[in-house]
Amino acid sequence: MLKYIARRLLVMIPTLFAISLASFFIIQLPPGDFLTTYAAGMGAQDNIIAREQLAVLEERYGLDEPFHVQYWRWISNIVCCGDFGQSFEWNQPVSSLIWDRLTLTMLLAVVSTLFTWLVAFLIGTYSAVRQYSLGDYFWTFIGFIGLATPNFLLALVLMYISFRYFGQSVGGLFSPEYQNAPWSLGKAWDLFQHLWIPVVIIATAGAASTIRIMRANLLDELHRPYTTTARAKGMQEWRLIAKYPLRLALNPFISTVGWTIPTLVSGEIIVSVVLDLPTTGPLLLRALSSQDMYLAGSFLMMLGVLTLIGTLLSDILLAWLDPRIQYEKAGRR
Amino acid sequence: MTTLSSTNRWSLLLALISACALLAAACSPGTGDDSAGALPDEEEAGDDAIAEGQSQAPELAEMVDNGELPPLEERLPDEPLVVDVVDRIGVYGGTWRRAESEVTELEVTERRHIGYERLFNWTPEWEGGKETTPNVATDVEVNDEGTEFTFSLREGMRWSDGEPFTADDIVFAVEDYYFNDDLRAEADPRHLDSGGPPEVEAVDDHTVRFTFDQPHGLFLQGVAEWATQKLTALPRHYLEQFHADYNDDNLDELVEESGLSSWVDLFLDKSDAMRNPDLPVIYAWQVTQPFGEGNDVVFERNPYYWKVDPEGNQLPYIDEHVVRLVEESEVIKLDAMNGELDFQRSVGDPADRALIMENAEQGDYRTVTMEPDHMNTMAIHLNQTTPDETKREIFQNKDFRIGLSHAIDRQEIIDVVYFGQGEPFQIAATSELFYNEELAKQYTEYDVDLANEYLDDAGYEMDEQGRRIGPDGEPISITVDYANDVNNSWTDALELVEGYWEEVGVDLELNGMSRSLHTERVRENGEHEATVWTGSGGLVPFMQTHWYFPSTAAADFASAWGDWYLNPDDPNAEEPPEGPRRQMELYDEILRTVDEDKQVELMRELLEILKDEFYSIGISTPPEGLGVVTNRMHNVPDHMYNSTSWPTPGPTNTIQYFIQE
Amino acid sequence: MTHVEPAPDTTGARVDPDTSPEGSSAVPGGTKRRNNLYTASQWRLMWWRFRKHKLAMVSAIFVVFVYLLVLFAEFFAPFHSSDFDAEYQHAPPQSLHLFEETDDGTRFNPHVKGFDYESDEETWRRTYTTDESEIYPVRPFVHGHEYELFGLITTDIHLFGPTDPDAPMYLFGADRNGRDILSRVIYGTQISMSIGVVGVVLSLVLGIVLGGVSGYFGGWIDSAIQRVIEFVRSLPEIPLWMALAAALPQSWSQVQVYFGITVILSIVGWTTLARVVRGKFFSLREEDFVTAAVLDGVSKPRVIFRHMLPSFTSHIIAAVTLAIPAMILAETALSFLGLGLTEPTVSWGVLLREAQDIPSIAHTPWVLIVPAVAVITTVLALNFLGDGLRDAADPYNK
Repeated sequence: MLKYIARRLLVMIPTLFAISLASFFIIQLPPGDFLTTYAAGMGAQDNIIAREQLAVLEERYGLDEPFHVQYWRWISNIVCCGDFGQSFEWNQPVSSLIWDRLTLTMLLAVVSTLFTWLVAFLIGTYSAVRQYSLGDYFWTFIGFIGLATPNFLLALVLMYISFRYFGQSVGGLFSPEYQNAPWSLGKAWDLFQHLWIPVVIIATAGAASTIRIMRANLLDELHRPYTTTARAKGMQEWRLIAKYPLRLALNPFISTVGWTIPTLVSGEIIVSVVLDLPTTGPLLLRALSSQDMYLAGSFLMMLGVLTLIGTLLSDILLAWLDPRIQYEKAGRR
Repeated sequence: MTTLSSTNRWSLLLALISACALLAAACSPGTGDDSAGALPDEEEAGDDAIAEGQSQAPELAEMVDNGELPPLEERLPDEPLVVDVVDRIGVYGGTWRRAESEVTELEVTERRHIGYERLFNWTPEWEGGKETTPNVATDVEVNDEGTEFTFSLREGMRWSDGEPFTADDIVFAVEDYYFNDDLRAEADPRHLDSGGPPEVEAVDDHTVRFTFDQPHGLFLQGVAEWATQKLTALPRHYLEQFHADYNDDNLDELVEESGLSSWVDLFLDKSDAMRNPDLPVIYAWQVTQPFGEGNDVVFERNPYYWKVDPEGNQLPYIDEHVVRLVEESEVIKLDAMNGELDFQRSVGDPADRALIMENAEQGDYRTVTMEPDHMNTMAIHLNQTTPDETKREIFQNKDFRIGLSHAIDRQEIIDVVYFGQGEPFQIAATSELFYNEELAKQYTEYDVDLANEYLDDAGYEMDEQGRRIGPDGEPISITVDYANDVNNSWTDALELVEGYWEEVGVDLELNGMSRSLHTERVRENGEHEATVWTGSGGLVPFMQTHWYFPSTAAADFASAWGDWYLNPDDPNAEEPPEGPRRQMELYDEILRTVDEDKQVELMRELLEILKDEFYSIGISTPPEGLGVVTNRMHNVPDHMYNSTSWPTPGPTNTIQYFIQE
Repeated sequence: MTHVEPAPDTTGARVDPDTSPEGSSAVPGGTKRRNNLYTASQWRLMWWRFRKHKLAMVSAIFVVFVYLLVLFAEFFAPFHSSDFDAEYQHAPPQSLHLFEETDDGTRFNPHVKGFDYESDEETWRRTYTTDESEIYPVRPFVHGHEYELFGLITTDIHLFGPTDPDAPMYLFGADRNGRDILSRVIYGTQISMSIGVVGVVLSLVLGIVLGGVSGYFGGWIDSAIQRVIEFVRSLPEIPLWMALAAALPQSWSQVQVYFGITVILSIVGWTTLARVVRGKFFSLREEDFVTAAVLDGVSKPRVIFRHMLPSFTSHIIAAVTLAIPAMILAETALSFLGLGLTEPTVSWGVLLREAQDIPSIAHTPWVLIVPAVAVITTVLALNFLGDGLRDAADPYNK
């Protein structure tokens, strides 16, 4: 197993390289550059920036150089000195902008994932075991409603309700009094009070599909001969389910856990934009739309790294959960 | 949590109290606020202040007592600028909360909200859009030719670190910032250039003289404009250490330490009042939590601020200014409706108006009118220098443009899209000084027959399917590239226009795009066939000229002519025909004229030519906007312009706003 | 269970004589079944089981109805999606009255009543009241605006509408320009319902082929495919959309642009399916029936596509039915971010985006509710349909 992990880590290096190249390429893809969006922002206020001035700015930011030169400058600084470059829009080193937000994003992602899984696991198991029961229909229905409602819609409606009927200050992860305060128990509680809305919204979107997959897999397993055999032998129903089918049914869960991160970040962008959360999503969206390329590129790169680690973890978990999968023999004829 | 009804009762009570206060202030001038006399700062700011002559914020007084700060007299200039209050003398304290959803809007907090401090400022009333008032400078002398401007600066005025503000600071700003080769990228010397950079000379500590090669007729307005912010914002004594011309010793080390890539980046970072808490400023508030650290930007009172109210109390009244960056504009609306934004200059668009107004009582706020300085909701520009030769020929045909203008039912657009607000209007100045009824109203009449007549005269006959055929034998189809994220109403209005033009046989294709793509295509490359934009410069035709004649590449009706005006050697430039050329000459003449009446006359002549040229098709005058003010915030005028030239709300003297629960 | 699994004919509904007898014997507990059960094809068995799933049946009917709307939107919608009327901006939903009270008594006359409004001078908000005296009869198959069905038949007949084409009929209210929300939602189906299908089909094919190959062969082929998947998956969707949306050619029409994005989405989307398929293959590879097939000398592709793939068709169906509504939702999300389609194109995403503001929620909720209900019910129906199909396709189902 260790050898396997080592090999996987080695393979990650070219993948990372490809990701960095692609990230940088993607941000360069739209026509124009940061200066265009900057000029557009000023133009929207009827401030016209002269063309000559733009040319000088272009030189200063190095935007007039060819792709490979810009890429090399960026990637070599990351590799050699851990320097992710400068954000044009914020006029700050990228690293100082990313970390705080990344922490909150990871917190949101982990809490949402756990919540989604808990809900999906319970409902999925229930509806597979009690297929076509009233409970199956009811919970499935609830799950689907969550899936069918666009996230941004739910977020906006919840936000309006909390404004209209609870007079709460809307948006953000902290109340104004804790916004700039140091961490304390009070601040943590305040965070929790704000966190549940986005967690529920993100979870409602993800739960239904996870419930479906869980239910489908468990049903497949429940009708397998070994289950029938075990049942024939008089094994207790719940023990029977917990022993093998449940574990096997978890496979697809585990095999996709690595990608929960980019998926959640994508889902989180929308929710965070509506709810005004200080996470990576809105910053990334902003960076992308203003073509603040070092910031956006570094963001994409970070997410890529996190995903790769996630995938690796999920493969290890998978091997551990399902002994039938044998990696060492993977190359057999 | 309190229930709604009790909140309402409280707000009612508060409203009553403030109403009493207002009444008392109005009836007995000078006696201050007896209704709220129990408050300690109140007394200090009120009657006592008069008795003692001058007063300051309690924290500052305390610091003076502790010896941390020199006494008020030493901090104020010899003659502090006395600022009229809108309503009554205020009290010290409080936080002005604001929110912005755009980084570019947040960044201009310096220019708009906390630091509109020019040599001369626009007047709060801004009548006619050309009156300025002494500010940092107390006076100016101009020679007869208009080439030499001698400003007298306020004696004894200080930076926020206590150092004196001198003529040398202005020389530094001009020579080492605006016209420094390395910093030019960031600097925008457009109003400081007249036939080349000026010669700037510090005659003495508080006299500075600008000498231009050519007469500079609009210089005095120029110093009050958006782009000249830095003229009074660069403390030489602090910034020299970050400037390559002055620091040979350790500049490289400083750059290294900062993690930035060059001294230019360092200088710009250090001279940025939004980002550097150490930068001495002359503004009423100084940043304490800079831009980029956390979601808020926080500014606090400058103890050396150099303006006082009519009773001699040092301004500003408000302690702190906090701006929050939010991710979505809907959040701003909800925050405003929750009474959490003390003064937000512009909230929502006309579609949000009813909700915001109806919620005022519950949210304990009031609304103020924001009058746009624009003269048009949506002007349609057919690009007369578009790359396609056929299109160019069609667009340059004036009859074609007139026909299309007559084909538009402007009243219906106003009713459907603009809530019945506004009147049909072409591209024309709205300021009384330059208003030209004929120019504003020509061809605005909705008349399909007349439209068809003009289009027939233009030479583009209809085929049997009712399509007009262009000179290349193809049906005429115009693609309009417009920024659909700048103004929500454009898509709706253009859809209507599409219908009207179909009636007269001209096809319009709507091509909505993001504003940055629009900038790239239209403003930078001039590739568009047609585009739309609001008509800026309604009140300040002198300053925002590009809709009146092709004065820059931003003149979307003929980008290449604008390029030519700026620089005939520009690769995109094309020589315009006689009409626009004459306008350009007239504007050059305005720039070289010092006599104001003569300037106005020349501008009128320029607009008269616009009437003949009829470059673009206007729709209607814009509806008014809304600002939101909490009921605890006072001295905010009920009506102000929404403008960039007049950087709203800066000229209304934000320093005399105050907060009283 | 040592013999070959039942293999449905994956290309269509035709009975495969080779496999159906074996397949039928795979159905356990068939004691009470009629004889024809043993000769029925896999798909017939599925249909029998599917019919029993009431919710899925209802959903199927609904989905068929929605696709009919797609085909005949112009006929079903009483007005054109861009017909506006300044008189009725944000007019609230009307009720359809069946009977008219006249002096001669009550008579059957389906109709809607007119509006009066007052405009507040201060807030510019309009308040509508019903004008009881104005009566606009509503009839089926009325003449309205002219349209071309499939670009062939020119007609002006609409399923229903006011007899006077200019009469105000807003059964689900009007939007900010006085356009009929009902008509706009019906027109919106055309884009929202049709455009996702291509993406799903593409990602399905890619996912199964590559996932299957990867899972069956293992080794370096697996590694290579896994690296590709990892690479594609590690790029978050939304940034990808943003960049691609901006990079698509300007000359493309709105629909072409969205179509392009859909294809690209599916190129991202196949990886989920591939990954799941691979996981399944890994476990199935060790199953006896696969070993048996391999020992019999069956070729590898045949083992994959004939023996292994059918054994988890159910899972694939579940994934695909969830993918179509996911595409619909993706369209709305893209529109919300301003990346997808924009006005004047009418899609559900565009309609929802228009309603994405506080005044819509507070003052004119119908602008939001009607398209939201359309999206939610359609997505629900597609899901239940998929659910029913999944259960029906499960070879072990009782």
